[in-house]
Amino acid sequence: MMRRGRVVHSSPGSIDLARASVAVAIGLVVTASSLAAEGNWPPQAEPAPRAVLVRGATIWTCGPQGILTDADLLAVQGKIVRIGRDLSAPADAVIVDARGKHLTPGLIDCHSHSDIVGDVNEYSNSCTAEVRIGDVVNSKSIALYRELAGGLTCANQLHGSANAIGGQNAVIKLRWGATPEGLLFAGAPPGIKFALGENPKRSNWSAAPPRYPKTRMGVEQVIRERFLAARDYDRAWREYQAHKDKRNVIAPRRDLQLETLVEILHGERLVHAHSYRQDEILMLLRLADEFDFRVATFQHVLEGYKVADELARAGSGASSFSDWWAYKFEVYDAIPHSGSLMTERGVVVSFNSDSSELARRLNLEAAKAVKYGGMAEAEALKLVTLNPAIQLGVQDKIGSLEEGKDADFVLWNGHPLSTYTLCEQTWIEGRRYFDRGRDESERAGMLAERDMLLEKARAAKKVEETSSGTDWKPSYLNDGVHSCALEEVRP
Amino acid sequence: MTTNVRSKPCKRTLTPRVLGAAAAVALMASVAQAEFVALVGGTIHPVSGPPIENATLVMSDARILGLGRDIEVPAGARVEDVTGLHVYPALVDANTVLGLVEVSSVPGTVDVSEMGDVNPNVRAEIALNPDSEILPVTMANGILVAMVAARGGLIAGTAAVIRLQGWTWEDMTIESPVGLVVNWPSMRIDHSAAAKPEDKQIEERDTKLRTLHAAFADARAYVKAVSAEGTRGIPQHDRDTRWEAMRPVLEGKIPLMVAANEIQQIRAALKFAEDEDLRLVLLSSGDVWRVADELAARQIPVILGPVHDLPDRRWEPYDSPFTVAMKLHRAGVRFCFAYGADAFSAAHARNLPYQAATAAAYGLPPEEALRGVTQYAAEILGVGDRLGTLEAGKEATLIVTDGDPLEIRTQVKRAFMAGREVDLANRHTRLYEKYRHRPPPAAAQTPVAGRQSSAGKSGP
Repeated sequence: MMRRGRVVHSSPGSIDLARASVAVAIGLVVTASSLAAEGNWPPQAEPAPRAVLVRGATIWTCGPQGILTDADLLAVQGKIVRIGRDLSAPADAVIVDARGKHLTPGLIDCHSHSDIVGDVNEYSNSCTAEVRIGDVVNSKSIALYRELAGGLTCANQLHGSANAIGGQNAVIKLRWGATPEGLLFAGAPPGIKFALGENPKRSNWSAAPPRYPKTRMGVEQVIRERFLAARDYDRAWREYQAHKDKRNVIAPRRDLQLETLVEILHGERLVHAHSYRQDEILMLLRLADEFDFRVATFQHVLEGYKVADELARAGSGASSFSDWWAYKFEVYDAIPHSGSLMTERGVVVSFNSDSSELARRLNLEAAKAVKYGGMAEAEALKLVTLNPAIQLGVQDKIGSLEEGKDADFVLWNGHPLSTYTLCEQTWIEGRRYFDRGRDESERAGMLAERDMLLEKARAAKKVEETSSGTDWKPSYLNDGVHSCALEEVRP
Repeated sequence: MTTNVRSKPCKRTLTPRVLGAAAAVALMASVAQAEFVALVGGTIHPVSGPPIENATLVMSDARILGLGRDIEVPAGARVEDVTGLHVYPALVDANTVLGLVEVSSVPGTVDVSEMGDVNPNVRAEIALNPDSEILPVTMANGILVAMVAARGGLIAGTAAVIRLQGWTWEDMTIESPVGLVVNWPSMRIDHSAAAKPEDKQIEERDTKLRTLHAAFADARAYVKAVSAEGTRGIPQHDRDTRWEAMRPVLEGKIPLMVAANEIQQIRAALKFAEDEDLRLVLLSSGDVWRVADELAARQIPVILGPVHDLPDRRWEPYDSPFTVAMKLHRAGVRFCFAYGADAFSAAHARNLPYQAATAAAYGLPPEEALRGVTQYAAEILGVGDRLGTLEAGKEATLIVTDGDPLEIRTQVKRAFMAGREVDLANRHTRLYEKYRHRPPPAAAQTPVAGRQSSAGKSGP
């Protein structure tokens, strides 16, 4: 029970020693600065080579080429140029020896809150379509690096699930070290979060101020009312456009919320709907049918297996947990076979994380579709690669290893669905953003420098000695531990 | 005992004669009338020794009679061909609230944390729901045994080792109490903006520490007073269930199980256990590896979990939670795995073996990972004489798989709980079977009555 800030006076003699150690320390800082200076840990990616050749891997293409053994992948200027045997490398290519290893597309998380500054929920209203996650992307989130280290390259940053119609999403690539704008995936269609069930009706928050809706019946009416308003707003604008050259015609007042919903009606914005029970899934499918739009994905969708045919018929994707259940009443009927069953019925299924921890091992989530329901291994890997790419509308750019697509790939030291396998390297657009070997060799320098700085600080009697190291952290360094599935369960 | 059987070159009929003496005495009565079950042709993984291919395991009346390559199947035994499959001891989750929670967000289904700070008399096993849907789901992945304990307050209650199947909570209870669970107060001062003032934090922490010390002092005084009853002139003391419940800990019969992740907490708990002369088991994750050498030197076992976790601090290596087990192993600390002790984790405890595998991916020898969910768990929980390995005389609580149980893609094909086969069907397999046979709906149809917005449709 050491008291903080207790000053111990040193003798004059020890001051010289302290000065000497500071001088030594400064020298150490200079030599160590390339390793671990502020902002350089975890390691930043080295500049992208013009070309990279991965040689001798088992390549899970998740595309028409299937699984290739002892194969090479050549990428030039960020794009995949060729996949095959015995490819020749351009003179300036970086060669990655991948013999005995496995190469897969970069993993994609269709449901993440890892890289958002502050609260992921605008709680106030039941419809907050005007707010934008794109405005609050957190490029400093350590989750970016931790998830890269699990093979993740792309993530759908979603608004929370407190409202029937939530905020706009931001699809990012995990370009660790980039600015917030630099993380945004330019080619991704815009989207928006919807939410059904216990969260928008706030079943589990006794302390929350009362807000409509309180039932699933009310959730439907909120969505319906907003789309009717959006339709009227759209008509008002079209009438204005048709008659604006005439006299005394005034433009409607711009409404950012309804404008967003009009984009949905026009098929220009993808709906990602947090949902669990079959009744609410079916409700939104029917409502979308009435308003003539497609729900791009149902998120979580843990009873999706009960209405798999309806989902398939509507062309809606299912972005699900592999095996979470029983944390709320509405997920008591969740089963881990759901991904396999929905796939058999023709639904495009992905497995997501909704968790900065789970996002570090989505390959193992895919393995659960093999275990539960017997999905073929090559198909199972698509649950975290090609299928989320399709759901996010970016399958022409990422999700599989095919010529012309982005060179986003992961090198594994073993079978990608094995629990004993770990991620060795993660590349995005032909640039190596994670390298386990480099991480391991540089962490020693970082830890040594940290110890040295702590020692300096102790010598200066400015901080309490805490052997575990208290971690002061400004709020903007939010580590992104939100899970909307749990937002009402774990306060 | 396994080696005894295996080392005999000739085939032997399994009678008590070939068993170890202690086991023979224990089994004598039952063998005469019991049914024999023989698992034949599989690879047996005793865990206490190397795998034995094409081997036979014979069980009867809840016990393993023998196993090895040269075992003769007793006449009249039920022979189960497990050729191509693997036999392992049942997996053990060494710290959970399985059976005490059903739906973690519905308070009526959660019996995890009692009110108040001092509840040594609270017993986990009496609140087990044998029909919890979570239990069969967990067993389907090979976890048949667990330690359960209450979580709340400072002295949370006593822990029990349970089987995940039984007609009643008494059936389910293998051993109780196996420990007294204490949540060590946080020793760290929180300097964040939302935190209470520092002196307030210190006051609260010190109050808790005083409460803890006082509870032990009172319990000792109580035991002394009660022991003195009958001595001339000493009246009978009023009975107090709290202090009665602490007797086994004070007498060293069961360990104090301290939940602590911070170095300061762990060091404080070590000191406390030393001062009070108590056996100690740590329920830890996070920073526990930083004191590994001290724990090894003092032979303090650790129940470790979860592995699938985030580093506690921004600057820490991304894989730090994955490497804790490897670091404990290298330092010589005895440890086993637990999935997670909170209410949310109970439903997901079936993923325990995959946490152990992640520790192996990041440096723990794979055979140590397996022991961490079998043998070491049983030993640390005090039931290593009955469970945790496949050996003659031990309880026939085992699983039959088509591969390594620490691999997700492996299927648990069969399971035996104390010699009786467990039905691996569960809520999930039932719902799967039901809905995979749902016929396709007739046609795409939206009931016209449901088209609430159609009348208002506008635009071109």
